Amino acid sequence: MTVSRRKFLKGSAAALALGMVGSPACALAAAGQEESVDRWVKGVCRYCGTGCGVLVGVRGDRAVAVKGDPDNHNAGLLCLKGAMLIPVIYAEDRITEPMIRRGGKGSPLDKASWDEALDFAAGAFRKAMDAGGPDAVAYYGSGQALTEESYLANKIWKAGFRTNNVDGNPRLCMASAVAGYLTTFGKDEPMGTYNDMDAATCFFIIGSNTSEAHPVLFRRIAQRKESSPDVKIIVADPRRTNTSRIADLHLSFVAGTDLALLNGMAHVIIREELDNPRFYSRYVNFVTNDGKPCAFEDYKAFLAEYTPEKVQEITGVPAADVIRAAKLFAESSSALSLWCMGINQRTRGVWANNLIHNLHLLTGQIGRPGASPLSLTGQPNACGGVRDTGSLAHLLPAGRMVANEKHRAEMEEFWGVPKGTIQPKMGHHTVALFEAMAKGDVKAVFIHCTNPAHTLPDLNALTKGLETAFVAQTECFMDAETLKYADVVFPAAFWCETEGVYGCTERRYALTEQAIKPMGNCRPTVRILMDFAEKAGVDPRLFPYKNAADIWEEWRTLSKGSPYDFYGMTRARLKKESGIKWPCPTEDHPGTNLRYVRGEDPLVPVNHPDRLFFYGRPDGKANIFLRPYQPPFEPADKDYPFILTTGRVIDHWHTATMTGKVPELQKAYPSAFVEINPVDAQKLGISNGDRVVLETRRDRMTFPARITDTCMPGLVFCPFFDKNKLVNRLFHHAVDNASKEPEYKICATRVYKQA
Amino acid sequence: MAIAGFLVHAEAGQSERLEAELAEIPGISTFGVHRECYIAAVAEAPGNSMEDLLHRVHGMDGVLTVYVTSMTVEDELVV
Amino acid sequence: MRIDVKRTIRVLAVLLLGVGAFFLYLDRAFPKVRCEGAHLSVPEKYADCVSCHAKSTARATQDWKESKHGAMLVKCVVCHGEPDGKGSISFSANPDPATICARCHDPAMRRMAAKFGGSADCSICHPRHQNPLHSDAYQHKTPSGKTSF
Repeated sequence: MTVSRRKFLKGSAAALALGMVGSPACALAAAGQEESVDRWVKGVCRYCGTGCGVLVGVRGDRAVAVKGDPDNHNAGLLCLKGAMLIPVIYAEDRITEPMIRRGGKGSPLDKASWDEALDFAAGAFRKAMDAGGPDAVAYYGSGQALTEESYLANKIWKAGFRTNNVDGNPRLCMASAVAGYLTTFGKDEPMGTYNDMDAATCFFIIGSNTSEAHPVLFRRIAQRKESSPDVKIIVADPRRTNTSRIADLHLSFVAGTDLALLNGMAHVIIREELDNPRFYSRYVNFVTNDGKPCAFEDYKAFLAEYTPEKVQEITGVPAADVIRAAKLFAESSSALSLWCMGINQRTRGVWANNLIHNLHLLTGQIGRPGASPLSLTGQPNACGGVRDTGSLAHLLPAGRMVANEKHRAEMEEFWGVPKGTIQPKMGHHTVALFEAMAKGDVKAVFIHCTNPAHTLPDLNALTKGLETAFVAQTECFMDAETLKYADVVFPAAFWCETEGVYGCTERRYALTEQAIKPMGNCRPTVRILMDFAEKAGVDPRLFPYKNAADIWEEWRTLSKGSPYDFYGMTRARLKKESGIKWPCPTEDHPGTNLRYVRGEDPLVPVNHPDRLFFYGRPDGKANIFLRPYQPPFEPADKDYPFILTTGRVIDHWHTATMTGKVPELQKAYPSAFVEINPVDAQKLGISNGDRVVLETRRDRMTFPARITDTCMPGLVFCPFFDKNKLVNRLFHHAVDNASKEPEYKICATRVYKQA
Repeated sequence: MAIAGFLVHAEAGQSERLEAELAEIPGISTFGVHRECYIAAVAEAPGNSMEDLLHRVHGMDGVLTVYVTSMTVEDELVV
Repeated sequence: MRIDVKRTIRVLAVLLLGVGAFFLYLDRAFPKVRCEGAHLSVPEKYADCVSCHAKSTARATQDWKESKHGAMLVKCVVCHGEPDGKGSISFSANPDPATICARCHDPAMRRMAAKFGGSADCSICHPRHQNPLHSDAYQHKTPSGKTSF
């Protein structure tokens, strides 16, 4: 009998299907078996300012797993970056030996011994100071450095080398928020915490893509919305990002016009009589833009021109939406504002911060659970490490100022150095520092835990300083752009290879304990700093510390009695708990949720006559500033008709030297692209994937296009993580007058398809 | 008359039940569950209704997806 | 009907050989076109699971997009790992809840176990990919909402 044709066909169809089961395409690895863990070590995530608690699982001498700490604020949750931290530790390009560029700039980096490297760097520093005095050297630190590292470096440079050229990358991200809090409330740092997210009934999220920059906080906000239909969310952003998925109202304003929007909301609040005279007559001073006291009537007159219609004209936001946003904010029982780089990285960043605070002070939406202006911090330790320790060119620890004689004398006494040791003159802020390096005024710089050759604005101009000055650098990964300019590289212990404290957005200081030994020949940075300083001529009695814990002890003692008091956070207590929120003056104090509030903040006397006390200001009151709308430094014009903005994507952290080592994250975003609105794309004849040129007054770069309606027409967006597409080359380096923070969010560009 | 070989990728724990359900459908013969989640099968149906049949399989409870591995259409084979 | 055994055996042997050769060929051929090939990304292009899986496993993808995991950008790789096996998370089409879900949800799982007794399979009450933003998380849900091809 012949096999029938039909039987043959069916047989071969079956065989084919069965064959496919055997193909590697359908092969399955065994379900992920997490390697068994000997012990879990408590710590904080290495990435963003959310400051999630983590537990690092150690087996033998290896870190093998990461999971969320159930006792920290994140209740065990992590975002995809934090969950995949382990491969970063064991990246193939970890720097594990010191390196020296013996032949000068442009020659290759050679391995060296620790002594060689330290001597080489110390020698260069001595030479620089002999030629140009103490101000010929500098320290450029980081909001990712441990608190103990920043405190130590600040002390060494300001009291040891005696220069105030101490600055750091928080200048590039949080400086405007710092100045905003300082000018409005007298002291830095938010008064609320993440707990406010569980109580707020209106969220006002502006200049923040929370879903990608602070994912775990985004989840908390979404969860709050789910819990009650009364909870409303306003998202104000020229881009309609994933964050807007949970928004009840999305306000797309032309980039840079948010000051008008904020004043417009204040205008409506007063017009609709939703302001709170009982609150502001007791707690608020009204101050003109040039610092003179005035009255509420002056503020009202100042706001008269910011009608909803005028705001619509300036911003593009429909007048009805301006009114709706103002009413949602003011009529809610508790309004919580959240903002990040969209507000801070601006030439009018401080003003924008002030205007957000104004809304809270005008309505009394402050100092209650859920009612607070909460600035989101970008880096894991900009707050605890740099802001609070005063490791910036104009600051001293715990809110003191270099320019204040009394403050300098206090620090000189505490640090045991002769009176007059600390210079009265402010040092160079970041942009000025790199300009001074290019000029030759600063001849040697120590760069710690940051990648300025990738993250400075106007890279073509500002990297010149790296080409001329002597650069000593701590770095963990070989693909950091700044290494191209380093003369000496010190391999620092990475994250959980050493112990130290991180202080996150919500004033929470939490300890990362050492989980594993430093890799190869890496050393903890505190050790590197002390050895280097001694060789460079600083009296070693300035840093009599065996380890980071000793440094913490000194800093803790210094904070006692100051507005940043965390004396109650002993090392032992930090080991036991999963972070504590300051002020925390005694060991039995649980930490503070509502700062400035009687009965909540231990620094407010229990018998204070008013419920709130802004003790950072001499008269105990906060300031409402009459800040006008002013356009950005380089708005779009007829020659450069588009606005270019930059920002984050969830999968990558900053310059991707860490996240780029995780295959899943690298594959999700292997390289940068430019987001273009479909309307613009059509006019320019650009399709998805086309190569598009972005040309600014500084430089020209090509990106593949991604057509999406995330950006509003007239706006294009590039992520900044890609070292092969250094988008900061396209930007200018104009800074905010007060905070000295550059405007990474707005520059003018041409957009056209590559020929 | 069309003859199609396909794999049904089933959700965990559903494959046994699905195989039985598939075998009940006229025109479908099954060839076992493999690697705990793939059901190999052959469907035989008039050319103009093969697509609907596969859609129907795809929509069944517990089906993640259907991988069609081969499709032959023979006009001479009249059922 | 007379059955010619010899001839039948010969035909079947040829058939078997042919089929065997054919799926051996399939096994080796066109790696970029088969689904395993699609996971190798062209560096310049934006590549993640969703763009292909929106077509190949449409329902799961749509469910995920509308779910809490989708809104929170808990992307495919977080639970499933990388299909080429070169990722930091072992690849699995059906991740084990005890290891994968527990990485983020351990405290909640312990609370569940203490209150109601644990389940080895979270998806009995929390259907895979389906945790809609507007759902009552504690309500028993059955899989629903099939999307089309």
